[in-house]
Amino acid sequence: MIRYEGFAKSYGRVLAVTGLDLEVRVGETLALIGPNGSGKSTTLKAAVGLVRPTRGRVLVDGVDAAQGPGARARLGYLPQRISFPEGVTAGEAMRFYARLRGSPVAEVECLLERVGLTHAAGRATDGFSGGMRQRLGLAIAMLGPPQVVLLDEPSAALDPTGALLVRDLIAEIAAEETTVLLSSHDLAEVDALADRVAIFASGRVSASGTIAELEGRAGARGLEAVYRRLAEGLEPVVGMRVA
Amino acid sequence: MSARRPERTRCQVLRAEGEAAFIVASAELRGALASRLVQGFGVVFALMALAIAAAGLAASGQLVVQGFTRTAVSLLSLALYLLPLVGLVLGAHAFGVEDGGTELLLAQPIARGTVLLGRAAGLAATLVLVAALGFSLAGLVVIFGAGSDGLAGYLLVTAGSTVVGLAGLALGVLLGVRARRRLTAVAMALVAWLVLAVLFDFAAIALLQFTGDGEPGPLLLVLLAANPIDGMRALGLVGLGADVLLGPTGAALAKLLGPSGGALLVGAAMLGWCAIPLALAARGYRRRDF
Repeated sequence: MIRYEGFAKSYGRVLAVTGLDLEVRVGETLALIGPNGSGKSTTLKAAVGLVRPTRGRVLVDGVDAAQGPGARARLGYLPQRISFPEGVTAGEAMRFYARLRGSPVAEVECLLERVGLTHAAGRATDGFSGGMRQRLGLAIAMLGPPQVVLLDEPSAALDPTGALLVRDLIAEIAAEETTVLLSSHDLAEVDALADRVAIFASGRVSASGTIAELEGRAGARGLEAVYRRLAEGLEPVVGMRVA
Repeated sequence: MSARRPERTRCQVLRAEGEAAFIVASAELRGALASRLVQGFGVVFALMALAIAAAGLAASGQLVVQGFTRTAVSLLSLALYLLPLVGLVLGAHAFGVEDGGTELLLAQPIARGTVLLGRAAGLAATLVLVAALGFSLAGLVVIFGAGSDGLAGYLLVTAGSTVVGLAGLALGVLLGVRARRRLTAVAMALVAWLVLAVLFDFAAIALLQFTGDGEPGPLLLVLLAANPIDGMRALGLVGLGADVLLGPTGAALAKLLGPSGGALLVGAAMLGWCAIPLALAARGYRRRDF
């Protein structure tokens, strides 16, 4: 569904991702984990066309993500820090994005109900909690519906209730055989949702596979133990300087 | 699930992008009109325009120009300070930002150029409304107080000042796209306004003194074309017949912008000030990482 072919991205002289070859298969949920600055968000954004590859390319259902809006018609995206214009209600935000995607109004109501925001449709998003904002973002990401959903740290900075609600919604999306690519620092969330995991370090994938495969490789049980073992010595990085 | 969508014809794509631009422009207009920044600018401009119109009526009969023409001359100065400032700040504020909202918008299946065009169109409509509010209120005061004599010149000043505001907006959009942060973009917009509205005049006078023999020539025309604020100020004063207020300088301007086609050149340059920054902004927006 998504294929990274030699994808590399540098910001000026800082290398964020280097030579990534990765495939996200149809219907699977692939989670990207790793330290801050290891290239997870850049990898996600490249599939949305928000960052342009320095080298290589990213294909979404065979369409180059950097070449116009074609690839974006196939995907929904939830950014790490979602925001809405001042004073806009949840219903207005949904209808705006629905019109841009050519989705019917009935889908707006249906999705708002699905994320539990029907009662808040007429309320300005300014007063929304982080969890409500993320659920609204998820509803927007599901407009279409898309073939693949990309989620950049969907439960970051949420309280446990909000995080669990968001996790349940992602599980529902994945259960419908929608392809999901997500980045997360929450290992319990990844453990609950992911079919496969890719561990990022210093702009490249240091290990990937199902959790069982990673357990076998690391000689440890549970994702947390696997991460401790495989990511041992990985320090938080803010990109790498090009030599 | 993975069934491919049928390819669209070029015509269908253009139509869809046009509809998307309209949707984005409508949302931008609604958002801008709801912002305190725009409301503040609108109120200040409207109150000052009203004050100028009322003061002009009170002093009628004592000066060279009367009624609409008199108000237009006074409003020209105000509008040429305020509208480019509104445009610059509005454009820089709207585009000088990296947040989840921008990412979400750019993640939709529409071209980046369409997003920029739609947002810029919404902001342009906002600026036109702000200008229309101030000029209309002042115009009503003059019509009720002194009749409609000189209305054509007033409309010329209204349209020209609005175009200068739009040129400021285009420049603001460009600065917003180039800057990484909103604060930087707005700071750059304020510096640009200071240069165009204030410092440029000093530099131009110094340059003309240094190079010329006092007679207006091609250099002055180039300087008027190089700054839409000065260009419109000269066009407005000559167009309203208020050049007589400026003595020899006014006469020189009238000669320069008269039959030689200088006015057309300056007018075309003002439109270029709207189009060129916007084209550069669109180019930068397409290449920018978010």
